[in-house]
This record gives sequence, structure tokens and C-alpha cells, in this order.
Amino acid sequence: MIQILIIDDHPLVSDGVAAMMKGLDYMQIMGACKSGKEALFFLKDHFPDIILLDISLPDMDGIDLCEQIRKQNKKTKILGLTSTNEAGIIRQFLAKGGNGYLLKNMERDELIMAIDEVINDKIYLSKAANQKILEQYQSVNDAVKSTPVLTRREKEILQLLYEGFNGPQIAEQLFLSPFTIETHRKNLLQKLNVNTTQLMLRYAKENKLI
Amino acid sequence: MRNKYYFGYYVLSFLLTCSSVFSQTVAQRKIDSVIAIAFMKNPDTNAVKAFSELQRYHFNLGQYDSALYYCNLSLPIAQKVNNVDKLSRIYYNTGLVYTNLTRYDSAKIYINKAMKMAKENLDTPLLINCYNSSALLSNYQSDFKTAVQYMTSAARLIENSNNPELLIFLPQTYGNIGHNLMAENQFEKGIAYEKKALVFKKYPDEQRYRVMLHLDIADAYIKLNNTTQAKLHLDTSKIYNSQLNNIQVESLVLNSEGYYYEAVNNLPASLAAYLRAYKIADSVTNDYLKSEIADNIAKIYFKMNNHAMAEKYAITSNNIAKSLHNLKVTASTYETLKKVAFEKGDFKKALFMSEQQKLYSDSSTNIETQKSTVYLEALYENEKKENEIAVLTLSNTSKELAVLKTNRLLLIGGLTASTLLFMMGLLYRNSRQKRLIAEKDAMLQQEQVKFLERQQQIVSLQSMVNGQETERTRIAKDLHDGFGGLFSTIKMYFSTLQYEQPILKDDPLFIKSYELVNSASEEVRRIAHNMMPEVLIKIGLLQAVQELCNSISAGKLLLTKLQTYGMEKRLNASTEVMLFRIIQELLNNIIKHAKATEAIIQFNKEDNRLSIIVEDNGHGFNLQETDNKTKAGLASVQSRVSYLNGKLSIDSQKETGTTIMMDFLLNEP
Repeated sequence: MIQILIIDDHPLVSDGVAAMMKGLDYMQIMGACKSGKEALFFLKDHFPDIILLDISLPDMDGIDLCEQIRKQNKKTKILGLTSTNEAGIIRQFLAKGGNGYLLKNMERDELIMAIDEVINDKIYLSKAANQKILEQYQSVNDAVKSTPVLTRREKEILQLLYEGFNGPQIAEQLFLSPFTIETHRKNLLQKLNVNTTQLMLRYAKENKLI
Repeated sequence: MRNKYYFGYYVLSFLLTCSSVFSQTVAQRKIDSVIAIAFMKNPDTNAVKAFSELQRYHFNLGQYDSALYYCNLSLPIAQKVNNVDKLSRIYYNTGLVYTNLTRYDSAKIYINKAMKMAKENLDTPLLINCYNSSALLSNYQSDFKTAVQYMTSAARLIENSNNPELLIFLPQTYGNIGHNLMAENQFEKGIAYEKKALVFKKYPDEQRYRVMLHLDIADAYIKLNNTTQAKLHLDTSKIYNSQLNNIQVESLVLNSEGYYYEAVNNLPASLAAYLRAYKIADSVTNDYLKSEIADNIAKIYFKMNNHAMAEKYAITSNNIAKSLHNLKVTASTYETLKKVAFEKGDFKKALFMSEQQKLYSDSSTNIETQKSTVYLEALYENEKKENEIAVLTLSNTSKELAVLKTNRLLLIGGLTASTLLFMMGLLYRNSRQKRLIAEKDAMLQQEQVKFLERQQQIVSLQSMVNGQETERTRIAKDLHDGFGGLFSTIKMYFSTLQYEQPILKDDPLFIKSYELVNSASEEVRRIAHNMMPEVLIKIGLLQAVQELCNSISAGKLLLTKLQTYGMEKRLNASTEVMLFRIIQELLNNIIKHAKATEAIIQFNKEDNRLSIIVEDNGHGFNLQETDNKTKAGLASVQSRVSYLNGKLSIDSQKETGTTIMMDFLLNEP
């Protein structure tokens, strides 16, 4: 028998989950808590096999609660059941000891599958959550590439600096204020991780940025 | 920071010396007969004189209301008998009384009247007094620049006249200059001037004056961290004070004692001294002194961790200081209030106090003021030397001419011409200097007004925007938790129903309902997310922008990239929300109007400088030709950027793209 605890401040949600589980005699809802405080109190003398945890609770942050529960109890599985689908949140939830992440607009089959997977020591991510994580991965991949991507204006300014123009001259040529040029130059120095314009030009040349 | 009050005493002593000294014991005996003269049936010059004596008598006792009463009585009589000498002095005395009643506007009017008459009648002693009183008034209102102007005028008058009766005012004047330099944080110079004043002997009211000088010097030494010298001067002042019987001076000495103990970190002793000083100041209703001492007490209580008392005294001091336009004390009390609020965990209040403090301290410690004070002092010294040189040259010329004795006519002509030239030069110099000072003054004031206006704009914008964001967060949360939860549950029931009644899977009506519920729940989530993404609050700006980019890129129409440099630490929460809104709006514009295929968002942060660039490769736009919607969008970006004290520049090229650059100077801890 899988003992389940639901932590969600919305009373209807636990009703919905209970309805979905009707007829599955190997799952039992042992309780529903409406706040983090109530849950922590409940967990002092109850040991559910799995917790369905909403991350937006009235009294505390669900991610923090996940971390606290994980500290007290290493065995209980924690499955996020929430309506927030944001990569950063999902990642952090898993990092703080969550075993899976499920969105509330799930199908009945998905819920049952998620519980089964998590009980069998696997990590479960709902399809939409998985998609978000993959998108994130793509952008991480971009960021890892060693040479930074220059903006169009940065390229132009770098080129003109290379041709020997100074700030005010470039400003005149591009119809921009000298202040703007100076900001672009400072940004370039920081992006290419160099201290002087000379080093910057050398780096740009070596990496074929100009 | 403190003790501008001493200054008042210097001027007070002028009043006594300028007119005949009126001993108090004599006064008590004579008072009845004086009253009899004063209230005679057909008032004449004698009545005016009697009123003046009565007025002085009450003034010396610190009964300023009565003094004012007699001033008001004598004024019409003096006007009637048309005694210019008396009338100008009554004006002056009335001004002084108002000063002591802390009614500075009225004081200014009367002293100006007296000053005008003194100038017309070449009444040098009165003119000196007027200059000094005006300096005092300016000083009370934290306008040190004007104060120094008046004081140098007074010093020049005294030094140029060879009248021994006037020379006795020199110690006071040196003291005043020294004192003002101290108020401008130039302690060494201030000490030098006041020590110069200590050299003088046998001038009226010397004893009280010495107490003040020693106290001032002691305070300056404390500021310079030289507590041994400070103790020495404090003790000297106590010795002089024990021979005096002046309750207000007593309170000043106690105040300095408290300050000294505070410097050597003996807080209980310091508090005791301050409290005694405060009691006296309260009993003689000297508001200026009271607010300064209350401020000191508040600080001590705060150091002793008694926050309730600290707050109480700070509020008392704050109320008085604000009504007296004492900017420094006001700023200082706001600082204490800020700390108290901070300790209580009331950060909103602390922030408010901090903003107030900034407002007041910026206007009081304006570097410009300090600079110009130094400048004026230099001008004065310079002029003095030039005068000496001019005088020497003049005497040389006359000597040579006398020796030659060639042409008497030439001698006289030369002398007259050079004197005339010299005087014209002086006059020209004088007027030019005055004009310069006036111009500088006007400029400073204009800057001040602009600064205050800007502050006010920012504050009102801030509260508006903050309110908006709070509202959005609340609505998003309600939507998300309330509506979102409801729709999710309906969907759960549908899903269960479908499982329990397999026949429904083929019912088109059921399928349609199911789909609609599904899209409704998606829609609610999307709206709530756009209103306030949770990741922005919980994880931070960069992750929120990254996810915004991800979801835009996922649509395949616009490839959006985020690059960040030096953004390891989170910014403060309200700044992050504001920056997110800006980027959201700019990306919206790009999607809707730019027809771009790529966009780059770039954050560069170095120390306090933050530069954000949003660049696209769309078809660009001309600010004049944009439609109203884009304009509204850009206006909202502009207002948010200026809310953060930033600078927005739009650089758009037709058919090439647009680069939007925002620069901020963040004042993060």
C-alpha cells in the first residue's frame, strides 16, 4: 500500500487527486495539509511513502519546504504537483531533493505513472516540464561557447577602433554620442576579458572577430 | 554638526557693549523709576530710552517675550520723535529678540531695516552689529556662505577703523570666523582663529565669551580625535563657567561635556550630561539648543540599545529642527530614526527615513557651499593684503614727492589722482565681487530647486510603480492559485470521468468540453505568468529573462540570446522586477513591429555601473514616424528607466536594426 500525503492550500486539488485514485486499492491518501507549517507538524509522527507538494503555499516557499522535509526524512519521495512550469524552478526543486515534477493539468494516467516511477526510485518529469528543461539546455549550450557573440554595434565599433579611429571620431561617423561609444567600448573590454583597447584589438584579430 | 548656538552668544555680547552697560543689580533698584519714565503721558526721547533699558533688562534675563513687548512699545514713539539714532537701534534690538525667539523671518526684516539706516548714517558700530547678527541668522539657517560674507564685512569694518572702542570687537569676530570654519568641518583653521581670539583681554563680557571659545575649541579637538587637548579646554571652560551664573551657558558646557564623554566612550556619563543640558534647554525654551541636545541624546540611547528612547528623542529633535530649518540636525535625526526602524525590522520605514536623511544631508553638506566658503575666505585674505600693499605704495609716493618738492601742484594732483584711482578700483572690485557672489548664490539656489524637484518626481513615480507591481503580484497569485487550482481540479475530474466511463471518449460533446477546460487552464497560467513570473521572484532576473528568451526562441520566429557579464550577484528585488518589465516590453516591441529574426540581450555590470543592450536585426524605425502603440511602449520603458535613474538611448538604422542601450548607476550595498 502506497501512503500518500498531499500538501496544497487549495482544498479542491486534493479532492481531485482523490477522485483520480478511486479504484486503485494499492494507493491511499493518508492526509492533506494546507500549509507548510501544518505539513511539518504532520510529518513529525507520520511517514508517507510519497508527498505531492505544491510549491506555492501561503506560509512558505515550496522549494524551501522540500529541502526541510528532505533533511528530516531521506526515504520519503517528494513529487512536485504544481501549476508553475518554469525551468529555473524545476531545476531548483530537483536540486533541493525533489524526486519528480508534475503539472496540475495532468491526465489521470500521467499521475499514476509518475507515482509508480518515483516509488521505483526514478525521477519523473512531466512532458511540458521536460520540454522547459531542454530549452534551457540549449541556451546553456550557447553560453558555454568560448567566444562571446558581439552585437552589431560592437562589431562596427571594434572595426573602426582597429582602423585607428578614436572615440569621438567613431561617434561622429556612426551618428552616436561619444558617451554611447564609451559604454560599448567598456562592455567590449568586459566581454573579451581584457584591460586595454590594444589587448582587445589583438584578441579580436586572433579570434577573427574583425 | 553641533554648537552653532554659541555663535548667538557672541552677538548677544555686542548688544550689551554697544549701548551703555546696564547692570542688573542697578536695574532692580531702578526698575520702578524707569517704568515711571517709560509710561509718561507725553512720551519723548527719555521715554524711548527708558523703554530700551527695560527691554535690555528683560533681554538679559532671557525673558524675550517681555523684551519684545517693550520693543513694540518704544517703536512708535521713536518714529514720532524722529530720533534716527534710537530708531535704528530699536530695529536692531527687535531683530535680536526675534532671533532669540527663533522667528528668523521677522528677525531678518528688522535687522535689514537697522542695517540700511546704519549705512545711511555711517553708524559703524551698529553696522558691525547688523553684519554679525545677519551672519548669525544665516548660520542658524545653515547658510554658511552668506554668514561668512557678513562676517568678513564686519571684520573689514573693524580692522579699517582705528577706533579703539571698535577694536574690542575683534576677538568676537575672530571667534565667529573660527566658529564658522568649524561648522564647515575645517577644524584646524577654526581652532587657529579661535585661539587668536583667546589672546585678547579686557573686553566686555569676556568671561562668558571665553567659556564659549574654550568649548568650541574642545569640540573641534574631539572632532580631530585629540581628546587630551579637548579635555584641557573643556576643563578651562568649566572654570570660567563656575564664575559665571548663566543658565544657558551652563547647558552648553554640559552639552560639550556629554560630547566629550561620548568621544571617550563613557556612555552613561555622556547621557547624564546631555540629559541635564536638555533639562535646562527645555526650561528656558531654547528650541535650537534643545533640538541639538535631543539629537545627541537620541544617538546615545541608540548606542546603549535603548531604541524606544532613541526614537522618542529623535522625533522630538526632528520636529523642532525641521521647523527651524536646521538641515544638519534634521538629517542626523533621520539617520537615528532610520537605524531604529532598521533594528525593528521595519525596512519600509527605514528606507523612507534614509531617503529623508539623504535629502536633508545632501542639501546641508553641499560640497559647493564648502568650496565657496573657502573661496570667500581666500578672497578676503587676498583683499586684505592688497589693501596693505596699496597703502604702502601710496605712502611711498607721497614721501618721494615730499622729498622732491618739485611741484606742489603736481604733488596734490598726483595724490588726488592716485587716491581717486585707488578708491575707484576698490569700488569696482567691491561691486564686482558682490555681483559674482550674487550670481553664484542664484546658481546654487537654482540647482537646489532643480535637485529637490527631481527628488520629488522620483518619489512620486516610485510610489506609483511600486503600487503597480504589488498589485500585479497579488493578482497573478490569485489567478494562479485560485483560478488555476480550480481549472486543474475540473480537468482532474474530467480525466477520471473519462476513465470510469470509457464510452465518453467517443462523445464529441465531452471531447470538446475537455479541450476547452484544458485550454482555459493553460490560458490562466499564461496570463498569471506574464503578470509576474515566479522564477523572477524566487530565482532572479537573469533566469527569468533566460526563460523569456527560451520561450520566444521556441516559437522559431525570433531567435533570442542572452549574454551576461559580471552579474553573479542578484540585484535588489524591485530593481529586478523593473528591469524585467523593461526587457519584456522591448522584446514585445521587437516581436510585434521589428520583423527581426535575431535579438541579443546583454547585461554588463562592473561595480555600480550596469549597462543593458537590447539589439535586433529588424527593419529599424524612425522615432518621429512610429505609431502610437510603439510610442506608448517606449514611453513606459523610458519612465521605468528614469525611475531607476538610468539613461536610455535608442539607436535605430533603417533596414539594419535597432540597438537600445540603457545605462544605470545602481546604489546597491
